[in-house]
Amino acid sequence: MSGDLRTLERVVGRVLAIGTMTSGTVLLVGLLASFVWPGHPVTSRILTAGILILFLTPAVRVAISFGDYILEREWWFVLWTGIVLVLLASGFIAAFAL
Amino acid sequence: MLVTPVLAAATIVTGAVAGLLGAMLGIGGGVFLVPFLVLVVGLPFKAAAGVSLAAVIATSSSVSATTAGRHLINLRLGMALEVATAAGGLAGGLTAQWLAPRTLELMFGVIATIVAASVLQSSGKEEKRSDCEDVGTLGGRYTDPTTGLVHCYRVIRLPVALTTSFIAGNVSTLLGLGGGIIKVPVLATLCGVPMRVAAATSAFMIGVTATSGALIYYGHGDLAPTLAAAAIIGTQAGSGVGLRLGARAETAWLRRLLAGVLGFVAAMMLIRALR
Repeated sequence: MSGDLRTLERVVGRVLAIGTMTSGTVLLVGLLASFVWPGHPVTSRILTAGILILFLTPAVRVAISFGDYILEREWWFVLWTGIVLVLLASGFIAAFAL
Repeated sequence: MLVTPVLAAATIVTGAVAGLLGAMLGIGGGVFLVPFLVLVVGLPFKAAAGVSLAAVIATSSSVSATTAGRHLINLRLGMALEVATAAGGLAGGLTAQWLAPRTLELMFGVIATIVAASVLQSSGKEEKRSDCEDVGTLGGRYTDPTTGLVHCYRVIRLPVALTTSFIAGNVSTLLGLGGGIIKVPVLATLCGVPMRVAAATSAFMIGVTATSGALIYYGHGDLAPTLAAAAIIGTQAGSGVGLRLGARAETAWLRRLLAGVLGFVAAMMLIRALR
């Protein structure tokens, strides 16, 4: 079991690294664009995309852990991560869709 | 608001300092970013907290991406306690809308004073080693990077850990901090978790905690995207450097400097709130 946990740890670490790099790059492009074209709709789209990737990174690692706990049949951890996913999903819906 | 290149550069530098010290000392950068944005930039408290929370997510993700390979993060404990921090974070986002900025500034001043006092205390105490036969569902083992010894631990008083996590989540969203300053001492002193594991697990959880709070600020239009971008770019660069320096840096003088800066910041916030 500890071998599987370490695999999950490595996958989670990679997800966090990719999310950090991607959101940082997109936000840097957005920030530079905001000086060249201040207030342009494309600029604010880029910045929103960067912030969305930043917010999604921890959510994605929770979703991956949720899937891993289902495969491992660790039902208590399926429940915990499932509740966190529901809480985050309601936050995303309230912030971006309403 | 209009973010000039000068303001963006100043925010990037502050974010970098916050990320650097945060990664080296195991605290979030929010305790620096919020006062900079309120006292120097002149943002309303809630707008500062929103930007700071976004930067705190970035610090958590980049620090945990590095520590994830070192078996310091207790994933299971983190996942269980995240239920409480995320719920606390969402609850905090809802109550923040009802609290006066002055109340939030007062709370910030008090918390910053506590952080300043606690960073002065050295965390270099010898950890107790316990039985490795049965560490329970949430316990674990880790290898101390400085001594090479394997430490085993059981998690005790889970209800205390859950309640503390809820409060930490709440304070995190209200004040734009990570909340590690509340969780780490309780996990380490009351719940049987070794200090290094408590710090790494707390930093790992903060991404979820701060996201739940930041989403509410974003939804209310209290998260200025351009300023957040500058703060995030700064903290990512700073925490990257801080993680590389962290292991070999002499932190005793850094802690004293940090405590001094925090004491000053806390006093400024309290004066502002009580004016």
